[in-house]
Amino acid sequence: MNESIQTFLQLMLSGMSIGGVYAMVALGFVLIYKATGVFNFAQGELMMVGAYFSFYLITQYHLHFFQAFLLALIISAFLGIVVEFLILKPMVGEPIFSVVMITVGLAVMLKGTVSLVWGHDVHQFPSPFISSPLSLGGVTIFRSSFWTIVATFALVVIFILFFRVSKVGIAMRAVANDQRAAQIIGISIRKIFSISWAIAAVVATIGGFFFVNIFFVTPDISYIGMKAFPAAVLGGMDSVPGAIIGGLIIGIIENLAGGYLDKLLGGGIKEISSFVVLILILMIKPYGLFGKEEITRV
Amino acid sequence: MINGNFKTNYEDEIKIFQTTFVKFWLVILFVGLIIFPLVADRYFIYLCNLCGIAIIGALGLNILTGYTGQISLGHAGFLAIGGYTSAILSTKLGIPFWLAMPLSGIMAAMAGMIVAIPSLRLKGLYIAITTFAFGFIVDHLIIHWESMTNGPSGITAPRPSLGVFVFDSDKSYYFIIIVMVILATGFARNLFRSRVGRALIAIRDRDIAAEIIGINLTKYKIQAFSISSFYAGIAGSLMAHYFDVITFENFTLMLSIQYLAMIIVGGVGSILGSIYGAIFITLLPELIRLLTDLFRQEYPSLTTRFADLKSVTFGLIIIIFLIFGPKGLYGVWRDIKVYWKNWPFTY
Amino acid sequence: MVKKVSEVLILVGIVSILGLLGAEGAEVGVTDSTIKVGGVMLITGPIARYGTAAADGIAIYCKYINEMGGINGRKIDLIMEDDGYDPVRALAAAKKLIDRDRVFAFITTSGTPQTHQIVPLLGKENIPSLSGIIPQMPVADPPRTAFTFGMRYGHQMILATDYIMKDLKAKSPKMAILYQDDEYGKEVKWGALLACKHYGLQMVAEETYKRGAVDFSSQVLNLKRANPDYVYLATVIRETPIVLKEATKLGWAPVFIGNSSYCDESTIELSSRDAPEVLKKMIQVHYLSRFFEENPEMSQLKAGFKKIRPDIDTNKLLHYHILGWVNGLIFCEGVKRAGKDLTREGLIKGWESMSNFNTGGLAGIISFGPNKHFADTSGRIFKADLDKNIWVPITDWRKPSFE
Repeated sequence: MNESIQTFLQLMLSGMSIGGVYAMVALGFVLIYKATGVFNFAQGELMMVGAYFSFYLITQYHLHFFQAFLLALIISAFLGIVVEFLILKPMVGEPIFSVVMITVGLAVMLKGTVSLVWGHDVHQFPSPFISSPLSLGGVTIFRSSFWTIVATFALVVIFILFFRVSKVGIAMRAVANDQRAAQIIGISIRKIFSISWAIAAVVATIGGFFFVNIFFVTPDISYIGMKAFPAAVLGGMDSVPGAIIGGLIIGIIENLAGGYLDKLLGGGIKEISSFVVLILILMIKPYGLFGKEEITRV
Repeated sequence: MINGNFKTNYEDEIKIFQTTFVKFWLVILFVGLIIFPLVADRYFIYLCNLCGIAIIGALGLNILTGYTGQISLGHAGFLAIGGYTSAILSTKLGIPFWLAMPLSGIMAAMAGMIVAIPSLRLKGLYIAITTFAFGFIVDHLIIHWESMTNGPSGITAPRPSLGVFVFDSDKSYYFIIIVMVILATGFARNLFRSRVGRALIAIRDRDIAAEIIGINLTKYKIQAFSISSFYAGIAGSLMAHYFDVITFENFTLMLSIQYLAMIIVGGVGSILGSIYGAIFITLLPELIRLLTDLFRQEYPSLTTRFADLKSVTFGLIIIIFLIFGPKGLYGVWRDIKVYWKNWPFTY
Repeated sequence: MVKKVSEVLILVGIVSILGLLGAEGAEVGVTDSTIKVGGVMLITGPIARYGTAAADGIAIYCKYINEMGGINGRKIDLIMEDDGYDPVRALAAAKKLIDRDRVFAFITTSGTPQTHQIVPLLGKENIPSLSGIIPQMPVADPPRTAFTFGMRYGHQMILATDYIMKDLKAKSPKMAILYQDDEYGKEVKWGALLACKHYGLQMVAEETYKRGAVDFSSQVLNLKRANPDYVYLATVIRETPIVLKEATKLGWAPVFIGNSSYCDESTIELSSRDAPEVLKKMIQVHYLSRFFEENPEMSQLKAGFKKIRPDIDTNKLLHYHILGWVNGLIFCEGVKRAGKDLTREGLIKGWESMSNFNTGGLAGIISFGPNKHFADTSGRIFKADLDKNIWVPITDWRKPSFE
């Protein structure tokens, strides 16, 4: 294979690996935004907390891998419900500024609490995946990254089905569409809000679980949350497949920018590229690739 | 005892000094502020200076976020632009502080106008995300535009001087800061007595209605952004000349969040609230340190958790104020006042 | 409004009274029986693991010396303030130590950004300070009161290049660098470029990343494409193993060159499972001896640790523990040399008189002088021992061949 093509493919594949994680965090944003209209700035922190749950269940309580994973999902679903009940519920009807800021406060607090309880040390996650990378025709990928991408697509299918087929999913769509009408036909909005926070926390935990296989467990991994904003905005804030595709695209853009532009423009372009894309999208097509054109213009 | 301040005409309502009492106490406050540095020790003056800089920045943010309703998560970016402009102008071009400071305000204001452009089309959440990204881009420019900003090493800006007198000590710098705080507060207070200020409030409360009654949204939103970032620029400039060196580490996302916390804690859409909030948040680490010092003997592990404890408290304070005291310290104070005024006939 | 103002006034009043109380005149920090020493330490925050170790090292040494009777009859009263890796907090802490606690001298300073923020202040106040946690010149133009020891990151890179060229006798190898885009990365890059220029080597790739970044795949791929034989790494604790894993993923095994900032057993723990081949080839530079080595001062250190802090396992000491101890050692030697009549000027003179001071094997020879306030010590090259999970020295103490 031609070397430059190989480089390009490798960059694409690496971009998709990290993009898969962005996608899962962005999916959490979208689920909460779609159902409750709240933009959750603490999604990256939820991911970090979820990763810590699985890590401690395995190392401290010596649970088996999948047991720990499932238990971590349950705990984080519970955490999502508690957060919604304690913090978001009193904010219903408050101005958007307060609701956004409360999630910022939550983010700061969650990160502080995790560092307070578990410290800042970097831990290795007892990964279930074989450490030797997978080779796909000249380009390589971590096994856990490969499964991240698979899981990402699986989640899209699951959520599309969930919103089409399941009763709760349809109720969530109804609430997103028109809260009052949904209430009239007997849907409990409170319940839907709780459920969407629980699902968002679960998705974040899945993302965190895949992420720490390569990138270690430390409070700083909540940084990923910032990269998931551009992903959610690019895909459209209320579109589930949009979040996934947005995440993958942002990952790929970052890696291509890092691979080709960094040298030309003097470094650091990789980290900034997603934010530049974010601003461009907001200026040109604020509702993203798949979002509904519902933004009120003034 | 004052029963109330009842206004009989519109002029009364928009007076700056509402009663003679207010005037009297303001004079006392002013004298107190002058005497303070002569009696306080340097550490106190240092904290006081930090509060002063924070007040200016918080006033700026409150004009944009509290009064106009545009959420900014990139306030640190404007402070950075102000600080770096001032430092670069005074070191590379030898421009004196007295000129560099207003210029840095103007520079930040111009950046503010650029950021305002997306806000013309979007509202609410989206502007928060734009300003958030803006903060990162400024950070990137500071680190990578080495020829201008000296990269990660930062710049040492000289202390301001007047003739042969150099404002070298904390005490002398205190007077510069206090003058700027008074100017900034006075201007902000006046702003909301004027057409511009009222227009901004109208935009926050209902932008479509505001447009219908003839408020030019484009013009006023850009104005709000530029005034707010002008304030931030001035605060940044004061910071740059006060600290012996400024680097990109002084202007993190955390700083933007701190400024938001200030206006939440103090009172969103309130001048006095910005002041209370700025003082509260600036002194908060000091308070936590005092508390941990108290328990140092019994729980030595607490001291090693100081920074984490700080961020937990910080997040908690934001949440608690938003849920239980959405009007901030200013609102709490007003409620207490009303309670006592009517005591014992409160119901 | 009235009450608001009056409240503010009361506050101002309280503040002023407190201020008056705090401002009593006294001999700065020295009495017949004690010396007040301040330290701005990195006790909390992202790299607290290292900061607390250094702080422990200093505190234990001071207690140890106090139990042995102090210096010239005076005991050390060490007051530590935490900065939480925040430059503004560091400045506040330094001002508090100077104004409230009225300390005589400063014993250590914190991370690079914090050091930058406070060293000019200490110079202005004419307070002697000794720092060793950041082996790099704290500021471009350090004041005459600031003393530092250690081996600059830049010099470590030169030392490593010396080793490659002279011991390994590499034939014009190709070099590359991956650095964090802050002051630390800049310092390493400076040394790496200097070394390449000196030996006429080609720097084939320079890659950078933002602090906090998690994904290094494109950077490592770019490095691989340039195909260097050696790669200077200016990364930190978490980034280093990620880079090693990325290289392994790409099936690429150059020799990575590390420095003292993360020459820590955790690097081995975090990468031995997934990147053993690359780790085995990696070389590190450090300027302190390690906990498993036998030398006279090390046994004193271990005795001191066991006596004062039995909770710390002396078989798991970080090099920052040792760094803290050496810091205390040098500080106290200066105080001892300043004599019975202790003044700040005397302490500066005391340190300046320390030429060829032997640390008993914990570090190389420390030499200050009247115009030499940075004691550049010697260092060694280390390689990983994957069986014992430790870094073992493979050369003796040496200095970079040029500066």
